[in-house]
Amino acid sequence: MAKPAPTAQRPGLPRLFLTFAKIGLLSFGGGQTAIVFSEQEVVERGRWLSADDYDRAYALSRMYPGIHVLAQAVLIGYLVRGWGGALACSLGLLALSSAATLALAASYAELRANPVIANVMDDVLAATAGLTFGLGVRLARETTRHERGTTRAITILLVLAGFVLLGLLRVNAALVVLLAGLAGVFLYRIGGGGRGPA
Amino acid sequence: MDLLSLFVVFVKASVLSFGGSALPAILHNELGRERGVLSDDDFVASLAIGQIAPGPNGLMALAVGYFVAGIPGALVAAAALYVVSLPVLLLLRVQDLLNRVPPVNRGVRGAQAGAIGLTLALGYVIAQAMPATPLHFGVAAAAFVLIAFSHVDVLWVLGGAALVGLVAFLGWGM
Repeated sequence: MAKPAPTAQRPGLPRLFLTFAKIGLLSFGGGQTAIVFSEQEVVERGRWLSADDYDRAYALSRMYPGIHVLAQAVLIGYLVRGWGGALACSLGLLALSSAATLALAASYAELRANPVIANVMDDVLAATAGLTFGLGVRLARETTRHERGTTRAITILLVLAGFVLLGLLRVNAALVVLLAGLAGVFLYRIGGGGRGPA
Repeated sequence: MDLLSLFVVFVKASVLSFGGSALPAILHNELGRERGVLSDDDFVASLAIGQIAPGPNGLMALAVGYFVAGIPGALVAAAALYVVSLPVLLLLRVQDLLNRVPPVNRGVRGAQAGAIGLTLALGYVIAQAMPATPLHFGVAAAAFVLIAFSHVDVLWVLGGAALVGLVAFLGWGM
């Protein structure tokens, strides 16, 4: 397991907190932006972590459940400054962005009552529907990119099964994920293993 | 619905979502369809808020918490997301070990594939909630194509949709 960075390059906890608060507040449009930001701050500008350690934190957070960016902040913070760093980075990431989210939720009814904003929101909603489908297609493509033959067919089958079970048959969503995991244990064996999750 | 049960739902949704793609689907399922404490309107509002607000889109859970149980609900959601994220440090320790256990590896891959299917199902749910006009279908289709087949930033897509809404409104106003 990797050791925290050498003392000379270690930023203080307030610095880590503020850096990740900035990343959280400036990353609009979801996780991808936050990841680009954090790479710039942590590796290129701060040199708090080597590119290798950063990549490792990225890969591990990808195979971990929950919000990837949050898990990544925990890992980066830990690799830079141990437990204190893990708390500083993750709390920093959540602090301002949570406040902004809550403020929007609290004022939503009033915003919605304004006809101009309501109209704009309806179109944003339509875009969100398209975005969500698009995201699903993109994720499926990225996942199957390095797979071949049977393995790829199994992944596509599980994706479609997830869509049909939840979207059309209204099976419990949590159950769908668990079933897909269970099916994966058996099915991917036929596919010959192949690559692990990135 | 008491805060403890709400906390448990958020933890469950967070644990079972990989990269937040299944998180909204599970929340809608548990709190909307099954318990009836979250209306479709509020759910869809939460999704929009998650997209518009800065930070990870998974923070939409805070908006869901707020609509179900006010500020305490939002705090419960934040706590749940946080509690789930910390044990990722264990992965640092067991990383090499895990890679040598093929069934675990295959199970995670299967769960990730299933979660992608949930994302598609969620798109279907949202499409049913939006106004069924040709304009809105057009916006949805454009957003789909841009995200699925190009590298346009999400922010531009949402900004463009907002602009279409604004222009359409002003056009009708005249």
